[in-house]
Amino acid sequence: MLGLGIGITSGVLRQSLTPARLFADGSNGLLWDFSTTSPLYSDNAGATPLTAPDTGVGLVADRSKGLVLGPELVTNGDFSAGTTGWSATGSASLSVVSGALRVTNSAAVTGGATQTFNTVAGTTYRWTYYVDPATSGGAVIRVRDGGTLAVISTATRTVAGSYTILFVATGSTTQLNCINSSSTAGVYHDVDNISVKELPGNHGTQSNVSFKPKWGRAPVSRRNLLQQTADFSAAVWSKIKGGLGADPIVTSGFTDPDGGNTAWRLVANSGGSGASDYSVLRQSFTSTTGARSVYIKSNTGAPQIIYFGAPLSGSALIATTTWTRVSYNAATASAFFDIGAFPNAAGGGSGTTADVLIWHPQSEPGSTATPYQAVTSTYDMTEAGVPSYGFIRPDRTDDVLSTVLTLAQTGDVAVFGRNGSWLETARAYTAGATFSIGPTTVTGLTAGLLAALGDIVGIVAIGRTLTAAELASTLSYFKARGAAGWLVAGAGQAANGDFATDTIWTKGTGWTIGSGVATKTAGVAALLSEPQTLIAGVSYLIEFTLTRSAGQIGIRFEGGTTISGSAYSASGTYSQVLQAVIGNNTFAFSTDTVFAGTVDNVSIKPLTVAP
Amino acid sequence: MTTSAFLIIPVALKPAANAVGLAMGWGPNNFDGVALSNDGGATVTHWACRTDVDQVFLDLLANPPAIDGVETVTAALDVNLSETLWGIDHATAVMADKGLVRVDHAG
Repeated sequence: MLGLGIGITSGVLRQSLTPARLFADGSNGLLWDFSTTSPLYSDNAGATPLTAPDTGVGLVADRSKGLVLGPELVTNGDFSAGTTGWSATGSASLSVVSGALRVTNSAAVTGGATQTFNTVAGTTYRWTYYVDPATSGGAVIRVRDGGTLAVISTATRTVAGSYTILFVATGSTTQLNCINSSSTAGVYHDVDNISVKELPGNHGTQSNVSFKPKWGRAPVSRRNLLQQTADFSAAVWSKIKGGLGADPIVTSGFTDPDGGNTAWRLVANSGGSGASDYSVLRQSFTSTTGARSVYIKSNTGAPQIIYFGAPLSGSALIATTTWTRVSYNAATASAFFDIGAFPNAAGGGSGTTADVLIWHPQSEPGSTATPYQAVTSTYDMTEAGVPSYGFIRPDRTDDVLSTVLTLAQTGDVAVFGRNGSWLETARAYTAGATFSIGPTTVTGLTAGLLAALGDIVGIVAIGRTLTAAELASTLSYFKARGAAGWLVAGAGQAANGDFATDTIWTKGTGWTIGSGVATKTAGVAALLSEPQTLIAGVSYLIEFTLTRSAGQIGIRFEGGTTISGSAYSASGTYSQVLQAVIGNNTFAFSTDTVFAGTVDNVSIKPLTVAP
Repeated sequence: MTTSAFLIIPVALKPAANAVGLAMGWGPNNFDGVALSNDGGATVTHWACRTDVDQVFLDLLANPPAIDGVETVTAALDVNLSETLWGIDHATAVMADKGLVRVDHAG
């Protein structure tokens, strides 16, 4: 096993993904598939496979070339031919002991072993080796540019073991060194099974902890809006009381319906039956209608009337002496999941005390309770008997995964997200161009795009035009793994976007409307705005034409929290996606003090998923 | 439990802040991701980093290790934490609260 997390034989990895077949004709590009952990690593060197949700992605291996490793580049890396192919540096004497190369300082000068092999600048290589630092004080194992001797990757190994690193060559040759960090005469280290093979593809990486997008998993259908559904002691579960009530108490480790010990005991005491007496366990979430459900069982040996409703009103239920899943439909939007003791609850009060076992809480958009989905965190949702598929969640602030394209390409780029998928055609990239996902879009695609897509399941960028059948097949692949359909722009809702008349728009200082354009003169930073009906959570495609002679101009949604997009300081026709939040009711252009220019042909179109 | 952090540093201290982050093992260039302006224009006056942090990080901020420049950086670092907002939502709220805008050009 070559340690890429995928079962292999003879150096060839499984190639069963439909999107990978898009590249079977030799097309350039990349396929980043986040729906499975197999191509993912938490470090950018490919040494640590990513295995758990809520982990930052340091490397995504490009599957477009099938992850087929190239031929061996190291001569005699297993030292079966003695020290052939290896040269001593410094004071080193080289020998083979028990099948491994021993690098010994023959004098009080650091010694090492070296070999140089041919590489291609910009190409990714997979480098593996075994090292035992022995008495060396630490074995410095590194690769350097064979021409400039600039270090590409280095590590001082103080722990014996096998190591795997991906590196990108910088020159036509690469030099490999194994050096004793101590200069003491007689110290040594052993190395064995040194291998360097090309790993073709455009692999995405991120070395900075802060910039790694987190990986998560969820079933295709994500329904449970709650978090920490197996841990009622988590901070998301509030223990609230009113009047004479006491804080509810939760205790873990009770027998659940499956015979395990994952149920919790809830003890709540309202202290009285007054209007404001209650003791309630609560979780808050984005307000919605829909079913709330929980498994419940009386812990007293007798039935109890329990408060189960939201918000602090409605539904009393009877907790019997056997496990029962109870549910109700919140027909009026509510932002709470409540359970406890609230005798005076409107719509049905409970007893003054509750002593029950609870398990598997769920709140979902539909009116009928569906099978339970366990939610450990927003990155980890599972459902019994249903597969969970992976995604990355860039923070849209500074998270980025990048690669340097080895070859020029022009063609389709498709991004598959859980809130929508997006396709742009004829995207041109030069050889050596950086291709990134994040912070707010994908290189070469519409600004602000990630706001509309949600969690990202995969990306295909290919140096040709895909056929309709190929697009449908690829979309089908990613939809089966949680992605939503193609986003389409709805009817334009900008009023007087062509500035045919001097109406509708509110003009700040320096703005005028005439001759079919809106014109700004320099001097004062000012807005040009118009009211808009903007729905929170909906993404809008903004398009406009800019003629600019000085300064910069940006776009924004105002009302509530201002949502600002990217700015512009060059003439052109532009598209950008903005996602509205609660309170947004205005679209505006905003300028700096020196901006001078015109805007025209403004359109604002809501993006929705095509049926 | 992790917390969303939006860390802001004045532009003059970005190199020092990046050096401290590197020395703490967080990688290079932590503050190269988000350029901010306090005058709504193209002039960068601050840099920011948005990341998830845990109690270990918060303890380090409160009791930083002996790294060159760490006291100057921690004294100037504007630390904004949230357990309810995350990612761009957190950054947007902080920027709005502090009158900062992101310097980000799409054309």
